[in-house]
Amino acid sequence: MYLSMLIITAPVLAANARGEGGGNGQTLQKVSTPHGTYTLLSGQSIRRAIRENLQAMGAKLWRKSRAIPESITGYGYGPNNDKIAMVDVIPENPEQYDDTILFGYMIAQKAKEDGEGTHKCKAALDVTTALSLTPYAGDAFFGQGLNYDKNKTQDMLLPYHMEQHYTRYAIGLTVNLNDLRKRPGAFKLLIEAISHGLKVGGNHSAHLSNYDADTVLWRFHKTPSAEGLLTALRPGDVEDIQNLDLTPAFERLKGKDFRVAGVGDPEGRTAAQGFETILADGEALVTR
Amino acid sequence: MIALHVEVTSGHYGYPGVTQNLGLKYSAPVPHPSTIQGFLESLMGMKWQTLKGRFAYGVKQAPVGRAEVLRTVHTLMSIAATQPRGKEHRNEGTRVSKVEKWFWPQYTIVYEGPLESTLRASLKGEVERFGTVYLGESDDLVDVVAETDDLTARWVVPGTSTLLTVKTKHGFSDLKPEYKAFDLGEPGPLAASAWLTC
Repeated sequence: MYLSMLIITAPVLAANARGEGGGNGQTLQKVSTPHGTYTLLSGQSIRRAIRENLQAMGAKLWRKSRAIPESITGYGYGPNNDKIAMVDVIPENPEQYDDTILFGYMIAQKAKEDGEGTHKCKAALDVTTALSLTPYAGDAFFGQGLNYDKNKTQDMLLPYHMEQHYTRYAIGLTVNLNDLRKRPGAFKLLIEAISHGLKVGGNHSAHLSNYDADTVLWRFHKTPSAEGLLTALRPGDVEDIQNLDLTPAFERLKGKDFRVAGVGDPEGRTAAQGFETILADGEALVTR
Repeated sequence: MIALHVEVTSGHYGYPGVTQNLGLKYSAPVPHPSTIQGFLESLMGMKWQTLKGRFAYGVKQAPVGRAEVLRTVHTLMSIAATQPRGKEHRNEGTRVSKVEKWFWPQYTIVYEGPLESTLRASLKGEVERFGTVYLGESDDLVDVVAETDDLTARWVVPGTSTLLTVKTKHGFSDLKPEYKAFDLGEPGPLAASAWLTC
């Protein structure tokens, strides 16, 4: 049994999910289409934002960020955070942790003669690459960064420019509820982490952006696919991000089994109320 | 014979064993035959490389978008300079990597063999399977997979323009994929030469 969701964020001034950059420019990641260039959020960055929310909520995590400052990654592993080599830690009973169930893990090592080799656990949660609903028009702002000369004797201010995009994003997720039966509490934590708003990408200390859910479309299904839910919104569908009109998406989903909370909900529910319904229905399925 | 119409959110069809420390990890222009076989096996909850019969596949709609998605990948590094406790084992680090992704392509996949009824049952969710369904990486979720009777597509046929993997090995210690050369044919009905034997 699966839960697929298409989450549409509230309007956000996005400048956080940065790309490779060029010179002193911080760029957004983009996808080129015949309808224009759209900015994107990688599935990895969205998963990271969910993980950070889980850690702030006190979920039981095997891998915690900023646990060991002297480690080059900052991540600590295990119940005591005393391991900084992933190869040292092979979680026994991965079901005892919320993140190993939700995000999976893999410790790659060469297979030995006794058959022991790579250890892995498939993630219960998969996240698509999220795209902006409107094209990127090239907006950017300038900032100043502190820098030193090579002798570190004189500081100087260096200008940089940062691309920004005022838009909404459509984030697609699918959760394998069968996997979460091993740890039903992780489903509640996941839905709450998503509903709290996600700080996707980095640089929030300089440019704080919350990617809050404004509308959520969802379906529970035992069929292997979401039947068009995840790609219901296409480039060119949305022109006005303030007065969002999801008619093109609803036309594509006509006759299909799905629910909505937020824009287009005939019952007038908010996205938060939608997540409450998702939580209640989903918990019944993972505990069955 | 059963034909499937498949729509995906995105697709990265990497070449086995290719990693990228800097620069771009390119994607094949279409899924590899080994990827398609794996997709069919995943749909039916089968073990890897156990599918019998034959299949063909083609592009129904070319990708609408292309992106180079930046992300970090985990890698194992020497920790001589970074390990504060002097332990002699490898530490983990992260590197930046870009992957080429196609957006919203649509494919037609045709299967002929002893598992046609199982494949039909899997579309209704009546087969015990594991994990979500994706075509490419786990971020490349399959959004639509449905039976179709429309067999018009640009079929992947033996040719000379693109090397694609037809068989891969498992694990990191034995990466010797088998490649063959293919072309993407002109739009048309299913070509006899498009069939690939499992």
